[in-house]
Amino acid sequence: MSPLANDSVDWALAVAGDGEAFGRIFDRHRARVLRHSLRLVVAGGDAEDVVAIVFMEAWRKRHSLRFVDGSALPWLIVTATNVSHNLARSSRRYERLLMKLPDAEPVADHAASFGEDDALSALRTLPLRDQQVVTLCIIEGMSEKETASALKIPPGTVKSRLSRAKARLATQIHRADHVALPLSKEAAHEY
Amino acid sequence: MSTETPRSSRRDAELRRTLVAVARANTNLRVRPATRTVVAAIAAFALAGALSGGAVSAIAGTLGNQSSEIDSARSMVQSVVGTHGQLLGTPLSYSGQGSTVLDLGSAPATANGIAIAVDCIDRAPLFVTVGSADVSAGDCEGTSGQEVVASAADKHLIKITSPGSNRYAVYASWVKEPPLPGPSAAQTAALSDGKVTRAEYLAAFNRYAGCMTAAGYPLQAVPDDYVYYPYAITDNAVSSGADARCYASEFKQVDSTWQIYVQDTVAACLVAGGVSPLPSGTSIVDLLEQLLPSHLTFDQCAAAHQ
Repeated sequence: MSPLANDSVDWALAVAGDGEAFGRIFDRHRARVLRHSLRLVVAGGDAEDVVAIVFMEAWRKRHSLRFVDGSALPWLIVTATNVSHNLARSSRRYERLLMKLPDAEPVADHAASFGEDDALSALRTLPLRDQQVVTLCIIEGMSEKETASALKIPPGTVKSRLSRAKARLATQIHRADHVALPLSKEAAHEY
Repeated sequence: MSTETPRSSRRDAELRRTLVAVARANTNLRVRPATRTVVAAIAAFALAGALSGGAVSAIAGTLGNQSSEIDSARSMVQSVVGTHGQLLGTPLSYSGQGSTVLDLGSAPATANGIAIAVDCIDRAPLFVTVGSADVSAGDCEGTSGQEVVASAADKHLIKITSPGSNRYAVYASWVKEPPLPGPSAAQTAALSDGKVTRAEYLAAFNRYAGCMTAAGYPLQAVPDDYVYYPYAITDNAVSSGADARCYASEFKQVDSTWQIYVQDTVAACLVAGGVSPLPSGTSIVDLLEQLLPSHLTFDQCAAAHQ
């Protein structure tokens, strides 16, 4: 059985009450979701919260969770992007769970550890919809068709958003060579 | 980009244990929607069960046949009805965008309710009424379902109001349900002055929890929360009808009255602070979230808007 097929099979088992099947999906994707979250949040501890919220959201929406070629990862990544964008609101639903979990272990300057300071800073300034296509197409290496399926938008929209996002990223990174940019109003509020 | 894998931690182990336990219990944390009409929900959000077979009246919607979304809504309807009720007649399925009115058709002779589920593809406001009863309001995401009592002549009309272009699927069916008990003496006493205090809310919740335990379906998780109690029950608790019976007898009217009080109090507080509250019928969870930016607590709102 391929790793991709395991997700949809395990998900069916989990929904039927097989807790370990949910655990296997967590094992399979936790690191990828955390790595992705670290790119989008400023504090490393927040990324740990994003991971917890993403998997609890997966369970809450288990009947509408979507698979791309049998994999839950695109859905998890999209959800992590959404949660990272509005962490305070997302945390409210799982406040008690987050409080009960042990403290996250300190994460040293994760931007530096990834060696991508300017690129990460630029990524965080993108509007949510642009972050989603950049994440899936560029960082996760998915095709435009797969990204379209994960985001439930037409492939042409993926292409246009990706083109716009690349232009914005290039501009931001170019500027970052000279000055540190604050978040733009558009980036902070557009969803 | 780096391929370094963040190492696992004690926190990860605890989170994994929680996820496994949640799936194993097959539970769902929930807060029932408060209802301002007497002809109200008799069963609320629940989990999916087996898919139904048989004929379905598939109404052509603006999205064509969104089969996976319709399947989600259909399985939700099956689960809500469970083993204690019976689906009757020809169910209706629809997927589309925007506002519309759907006609479920005449009620079969023995039908006494309608089971309806909505699967929202996009998270966005969606308002659903069955006849004159509100069954969904505010932000809609994922799949949710419930049953409504069909006592009025217009109950076969399902009205969906969508202020945007968000996509959704609907599945609905006439149902026959066994009669539910009326409110217990204790619940009636709590409502005698027309108000519900937090102590009365808590006492009614505990009676409901005791009823569920006595029926063999103890609540699976009751996170401590100051204003309200989200809780979890199993699929079997819903499908057996125990939840509907215990809720009607011990908790339903007190729960609804308390939630409406909280909603009205928070809304008044927000308006006084110059913030527009989310629409009437918005879940208590979402409304309380609106207080967060202002750093106000519910107690402060209650003291200021008695």
